[in-house]
Amino acid sequence: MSNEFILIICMLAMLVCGVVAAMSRSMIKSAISLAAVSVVLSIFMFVIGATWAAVFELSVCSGLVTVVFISAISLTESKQDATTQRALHLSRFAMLPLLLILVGASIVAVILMNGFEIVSTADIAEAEQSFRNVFWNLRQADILGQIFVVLVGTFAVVILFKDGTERKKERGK
Amino acid sequence: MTLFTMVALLVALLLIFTGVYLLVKTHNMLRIIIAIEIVMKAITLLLIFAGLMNGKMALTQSFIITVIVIEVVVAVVAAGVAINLYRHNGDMEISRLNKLNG
Repeated sequence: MSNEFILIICMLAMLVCGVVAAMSRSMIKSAISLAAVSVVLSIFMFVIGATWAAVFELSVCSGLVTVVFISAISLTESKQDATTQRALHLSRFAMLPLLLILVGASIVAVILMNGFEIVSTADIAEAEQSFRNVFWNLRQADILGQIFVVLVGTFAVVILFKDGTERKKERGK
Repeated sequence: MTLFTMVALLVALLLIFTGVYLLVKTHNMLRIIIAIEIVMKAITLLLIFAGLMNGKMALTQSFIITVIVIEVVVAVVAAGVAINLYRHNGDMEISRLNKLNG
């Protein structure tokens, strides 16, 4: 089995899992489907040789984010009536597969009619440059940005979950 | 255009369409976060595809890691907002988000 065939299978699996995540009525199933999208994407990355990105995708996106989602879902159980919810959900998302087929067919038609071409400009000298060198030496500003983003996110979560009694005391003063 | 290129572009665009459709149609805050995540996955796929085409896989991996970090922080903060929304209103209706005050 060639690599290209595996990659095509991975991409189709990504699409199916993404659509299931969007259409599923159960939030838990949606979160698990989203994790499956991440797992398939990391397999895709492993196959094409982007191993560092694949490790990050697998551990962070399909691990940490899924845990965050499932925690949020279990903390926010809906009290809505199940039958009403089902009817509402069906009315909103029943058309999605049909729309996807239509959009997909029109994209293929546009590509085939216009002869849209993507030329590979793969340069072997560039490809051999190590990830370690690029990440730590050439893209230092990105790392600094990532550190700031993580700190801002942590600060935001601390503010969001500030104890309510502290707020009342502040208001009392 | 090869079959692989065609499928990569098609899957990425259809995933973006799915995410945007979910964003437009839903009123549930958690589903909105899931929609954003789906679109981010499509963007990651396009980034990998671009790296594969121009051969600069090390640079692409560096960008993908940055995207993953931003994606996680957005998801965590949005989940925090969703939990607070539920505590205040008892549901996840996005239209009531303006009632949250600090």
